[in-house]
Amino acid sequence: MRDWIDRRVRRRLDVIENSPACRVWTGRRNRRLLVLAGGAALLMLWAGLAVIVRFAPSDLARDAYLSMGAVAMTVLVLVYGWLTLATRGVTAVPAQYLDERQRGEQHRAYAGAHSLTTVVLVLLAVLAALWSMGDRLTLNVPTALLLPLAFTLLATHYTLPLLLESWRLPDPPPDED
Amino acid sequence: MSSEIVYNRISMLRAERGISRKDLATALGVHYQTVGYLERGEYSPSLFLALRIAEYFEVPVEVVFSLTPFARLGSGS
Repeated sequence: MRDWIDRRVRRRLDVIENSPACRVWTGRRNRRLLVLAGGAALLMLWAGLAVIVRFAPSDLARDAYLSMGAVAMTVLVLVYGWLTLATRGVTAVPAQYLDERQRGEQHRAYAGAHSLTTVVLVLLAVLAALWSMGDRLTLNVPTALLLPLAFTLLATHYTLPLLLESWRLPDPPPDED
Repeated sequence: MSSEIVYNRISMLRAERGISRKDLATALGVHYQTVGYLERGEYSPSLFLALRIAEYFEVPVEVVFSLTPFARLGSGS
């Protein structure tokens, strides 16, 4: 099993190193444009939750959320793939396959994303507290909110390290001497 | 943070000996971009990597790394 994982990760790194997209998106400016697109897609996922809260249960809520989710996920998947290539897989492979500089970058990315995710969770807790304030003993929460909320949190948690790392990295040194 | 800058002569030593960035990276077991970041002064190596670089070039570590800028060749000092 360990050999199989090892072969898989090394093959993945090989694909990353030899991909032409690696060179297209590796410059800081292009990378930051992708990060902005990824951030916008994440915001769209969160905005979709607001649509559910406001309009569910209704066809409008379902159609609007599914449309927004489809657009956001298409953008996120593309951005995630290109940024993984642009950052040479620093947040996509286990630390033992990276050198000391890359491990430091991976650590910084995860640490920064952890702080940001904490902010997101605190905001979510504040919103939940505001929503449930008052003398009510029960609150109607649309069932349609539960899965998209979990999914949006997962997408945020999964993509933030790569987005942060891609924003932070300087222009890489030229490949050729 | 400027006090944490570590200056190095890796690019000079590499050019002098005709070693490519990729060859040096392979010998050190690091990514070739890491050598580029080291040369540009955008990454300071661990003590272990610094010692390995010095060992590779067969010079004392202070010949490769310094906390103060290296004098330019032919500067007269």
